[in-house]
Amino acid sequence: MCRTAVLAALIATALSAPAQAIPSFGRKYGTSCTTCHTVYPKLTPFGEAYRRNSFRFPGVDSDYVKQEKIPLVPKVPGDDDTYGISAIPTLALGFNGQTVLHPDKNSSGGRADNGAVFLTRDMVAEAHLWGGGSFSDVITYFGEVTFASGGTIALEHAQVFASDLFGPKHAVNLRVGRGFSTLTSFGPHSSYLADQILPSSGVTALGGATGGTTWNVFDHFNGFEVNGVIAGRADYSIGINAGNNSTLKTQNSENFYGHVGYKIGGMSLDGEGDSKVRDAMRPWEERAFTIDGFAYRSVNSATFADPDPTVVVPVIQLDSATTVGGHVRAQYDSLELNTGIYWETHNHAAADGSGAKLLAPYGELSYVVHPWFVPAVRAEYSVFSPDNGPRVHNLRLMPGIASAVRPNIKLVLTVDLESANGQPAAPDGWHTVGGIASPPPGSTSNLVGLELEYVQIFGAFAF
Amino acid sequence: MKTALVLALAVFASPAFAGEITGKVDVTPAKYLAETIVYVEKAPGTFPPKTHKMDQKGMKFLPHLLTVTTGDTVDYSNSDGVDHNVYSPDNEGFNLGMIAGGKTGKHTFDKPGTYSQLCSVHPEMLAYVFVGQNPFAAVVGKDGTYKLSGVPPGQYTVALWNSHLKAKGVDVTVGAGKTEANFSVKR
Repeated sequence: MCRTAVLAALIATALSAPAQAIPSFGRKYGTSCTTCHTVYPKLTPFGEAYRRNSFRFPGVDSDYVKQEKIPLVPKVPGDDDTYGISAIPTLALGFNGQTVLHPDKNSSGGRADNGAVFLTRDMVAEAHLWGGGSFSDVITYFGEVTFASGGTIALEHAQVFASDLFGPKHAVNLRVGRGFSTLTSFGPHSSYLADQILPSSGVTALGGATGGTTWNVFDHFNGFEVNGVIAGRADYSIGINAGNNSTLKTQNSENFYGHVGYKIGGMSLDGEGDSKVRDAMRPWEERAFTIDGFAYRSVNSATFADPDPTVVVPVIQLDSATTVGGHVRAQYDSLELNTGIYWETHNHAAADGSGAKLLAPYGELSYVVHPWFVPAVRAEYSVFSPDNGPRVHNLRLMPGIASAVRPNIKLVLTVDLESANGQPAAPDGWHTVGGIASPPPGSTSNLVGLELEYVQIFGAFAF
Repeated sequence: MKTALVLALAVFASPAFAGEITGKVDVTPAKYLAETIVYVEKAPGTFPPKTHKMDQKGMKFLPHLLTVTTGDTVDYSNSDGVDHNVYSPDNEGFNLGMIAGGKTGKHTFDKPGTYSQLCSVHPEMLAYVFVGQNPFAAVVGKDGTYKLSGVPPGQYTVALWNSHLKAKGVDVTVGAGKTEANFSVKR
């Protein structure tokens, strides 16, 4: 892959699909995006509770539904919750893309774009078709298909939720289908500046695996998940999924993961009970501290080009990975800090079968002056340690401003500053972790000082 | 003679001799009829304060239009499981803060005017509280008719409030029985 394409792809990955911010939920309840979001897809405490509750309002969800419903089964006398579908399609559309500026065309980012300074090529890079709603008060659904301007189509979400299976309300819910693995108490897109709150990993990709066959802690997979909220303060998830199970070497679906979290202060995790909103005019505010821990055990296959360039048959490695990590959110009114770290080890993360490790600390500090003005700064640090090579690291600093120009239209200005000590063996360099820094051609040093790689304006709208 | 005059005044001032103002309101575009109130601009007398109720249920204010008199209090209950905030930016403005499910906030309206009732958490929630100088005000029905009962005999201006349109008042003389005042309001 040429480096120009790499840069475009990594930018698209860094700020792409605003999944789980869908106007069909707004239509369902006749309510504004701001009920759940500040700058979508970033969720307010209430929006997070709604997401944790399998996309259901606290209390009785159907009490808030404004859409007409078509029953699919005969009404049972005394039961107000007839199973059915919405009379209008619960669909929504969204578009997003980015305009890129390279103030320093000699930086790694500038070089990757052949010295171009101003790029509108990807101003509209993706379209998303979402569907979301409820069949009943306890059975809900969510789907997302993403169309890239390059022609690729990705099925990102297709999930059915069966909630309140037994025990206290919200304690035991089942999710079946395709989607993210729940690894923290917060939505996967809980970032103002990036697409994901957890940075991307892709250790086998760093080791040189081809993009379509790499496993990533953040990716969408088919599987089952049981999750819930206990007593409004603790939450958990346990799941099994297929992972990135290549058809070239089919394996059992043995990807297991789980997380536990606990929240102190603020709104309860399920939104039930008395209000904890301090300022009625600023419903995103709370004073709360949430801590999470997660673990992920994955068994995947990854495809590599043979180290011998004369051999065209790819090498397939069966790779096992163990990932453990933690996440903390500390919020004081409009000031919010999200930080965490995870450690990922693989036993076969390169074409020669050697293993590799990745340490990935990250953090994002933001302050909501108003949803149309959210200054923030994000940092991601990746330390890649291949068993058969030198340890290399990449640091990304991303100051920026997120703005909900209108509740369903957003702009995000980010500046990407990077430094690196070498780069992994992958032809794409740091691409898979969102990085672009690389030593200039002919350089005798692996060091890349802090560079301004690009300035980006990301735009999105949904309806 | 003096006693007879006093008796006559007392009789005509009593509710039995109070008049009724009725009429029909024609609004163009018709969709704005739903947010129309007809009221008597000024009426003599003092009116004991009352308490009214406006609920928040299914993320809606109920009723959508509420008429009260200066000095009256409105209890804002929250029948939802989610929190609501009741505030109004109009006139002197007020903000009751967050009202949790099952709880009630209250506000006494000391100045006449129309107050849009909003919830900062749910922007789609909107209702109006019309605060009149007197209690002779009514929400116009779906068929465009209204009725103001118990209006003391006298000369009045009957006015109309609409969330989008303006109309000139109609001068009427109210006696015992019905008095008619019709409105035609266009953009």
